[in-house]
Amino acid sequence: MTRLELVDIRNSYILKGINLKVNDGELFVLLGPSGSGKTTLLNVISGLINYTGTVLFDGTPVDNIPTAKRNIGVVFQESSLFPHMTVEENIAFGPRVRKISDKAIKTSVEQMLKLMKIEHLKDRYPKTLSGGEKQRVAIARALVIKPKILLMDEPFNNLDPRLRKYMRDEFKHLQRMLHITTLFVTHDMKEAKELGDRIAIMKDGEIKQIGTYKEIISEPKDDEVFDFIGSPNILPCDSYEMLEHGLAKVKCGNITLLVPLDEPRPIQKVVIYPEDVYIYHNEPKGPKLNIFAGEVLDIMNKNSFKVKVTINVHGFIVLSEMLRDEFSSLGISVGDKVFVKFILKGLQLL
Amino acid sequence: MKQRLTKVTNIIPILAVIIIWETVVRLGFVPSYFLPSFSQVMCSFITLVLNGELVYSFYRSLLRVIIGLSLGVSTGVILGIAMGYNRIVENTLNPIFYLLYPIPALGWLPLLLIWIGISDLLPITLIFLCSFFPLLYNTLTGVKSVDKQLVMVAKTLGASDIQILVEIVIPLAVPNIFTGLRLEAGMAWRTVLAAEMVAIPIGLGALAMKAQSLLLIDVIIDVLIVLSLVCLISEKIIEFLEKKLTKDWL
Repeated sequence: MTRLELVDIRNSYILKGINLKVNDGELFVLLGPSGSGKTTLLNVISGLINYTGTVLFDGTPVDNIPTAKRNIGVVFQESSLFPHMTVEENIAFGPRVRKISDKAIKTSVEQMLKLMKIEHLKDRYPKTLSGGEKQRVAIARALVIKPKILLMDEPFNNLDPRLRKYMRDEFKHLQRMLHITTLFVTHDMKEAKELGDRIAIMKDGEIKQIGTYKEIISEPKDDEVFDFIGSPNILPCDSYEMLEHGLAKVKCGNITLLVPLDEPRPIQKVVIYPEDVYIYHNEPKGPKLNIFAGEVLDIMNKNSFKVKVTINVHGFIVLSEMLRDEFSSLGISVGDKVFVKFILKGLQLL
Repeated sequence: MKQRLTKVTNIIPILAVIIIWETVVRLGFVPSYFLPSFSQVMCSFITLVLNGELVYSFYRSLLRVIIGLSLGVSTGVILGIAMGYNRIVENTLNPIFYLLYPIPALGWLPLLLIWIGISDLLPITLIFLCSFFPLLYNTLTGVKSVDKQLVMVAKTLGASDIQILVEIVIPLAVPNIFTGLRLEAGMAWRTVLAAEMVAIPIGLGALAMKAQSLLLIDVIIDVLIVLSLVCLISEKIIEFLEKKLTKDWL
């Protein structure tokens, strides 16, 4: 497969000197908000737009090679299947325009149909396919040309959450199996976490930080990155004890948390996002799991759509985020004694 | 079953008009020299068919429509594709066509009479003019409305510009091209009839004018019936072709 390198990539108004290395066979995620230049960067790599700087495949510059000859597979957010062609014709398009023999085309298309589990769809037109099916066909069409690099531009965005998760898992498995160098664009932190071997945080045409999910969450480079990744609460941990049913008891400072853990592994930190921290005025009824007493330290953005509340929980400063209506019905103010619940499924271990 | 019923109910109003028409003429409410009865019109229709006059006139008009329409459609489609696909071609040709487009085809008649004279070329040129512009602009719109992302995908898959044009852009512009065709097939017949009425001695229009000078109202109505039927058939043929080409994917 291929190693991708970008050196000082600039594009008139959007990209401001991007430097990036994607290793051979790596699944690299470009994570950033809308308008950060992620798609533009993919277009640069594809050679679809003008740019300055150098794009290298395996150390060789490809800047003067036109798109059609770069041998790149691209999957867009909208599946962009050719509507007037059947699934089979869509997949065969790439090999056919490359003047590959009919026999070889037939074999490779059949392989792709099988690989993507879409053999039963081969005679259907895109208008009759569901969103998930369309994306499978789009991936098959991109892979059939045996691309050096696969570029995925928010390909699962239009799918419902459950299907999206399923497609992510399947894609990751496929990418590992094919060992194809992949650049995956998303604005979803969860998607980046699940997919990326490494993640680059992109904002305003610049790469703000590159690292594994663990590295970025543990040590966000600056406030901008911290804000973008959702301002997670990070609790350093001292020890843990395995329990039954895929659970563990983790000791972090003065609090002990029950966390999901399938098998023993080193745990240094527990991460929980502000939206998974619930606040109660009175101690909630039911099992006292991951519920702790605390004191409200600050309330921010009272008038905006989402209100942020910081609470001192046994020495940890914890951020909670809730909708304005929820905040109003809670009726809390700075200095109040409250109870905080860490939602079990929201707890991540680093 | 439902479709057959719809077809039957569609025929009922037409039959009703024919019956009323026949009755009012036969009962003397309208004099037959002013409006011959339907049966009289049909009799003259059969006579005109049998003596070959109507068939020959129709043949000459049809020939002009086919040649004029084929030239207008092919030129319009080719230039529409060229303009839609290449900005330089569009910027060069658009100002000229933009000025010429509003002129109705029959507006050219006095000039063409001088330049071409009375010959088959005159109605053919008029049909060319009336079909060329709508086809040009419909094709241009069709080509321009092709999703740019599809073109980008085709490029990344290794397609050359010409392959993208032939395999992606033109097929996707087909529905727009057919919209233009549907509009213009009928218009071509109306134009040829008008041209033949004014300046050409043979053809359906000329037959109608000859009948008018002899006060043969039944013959005039025969010509109008043929015109109506031929426009309808043209539209149905185009509709059939369009469905054949696009029904699977559109």
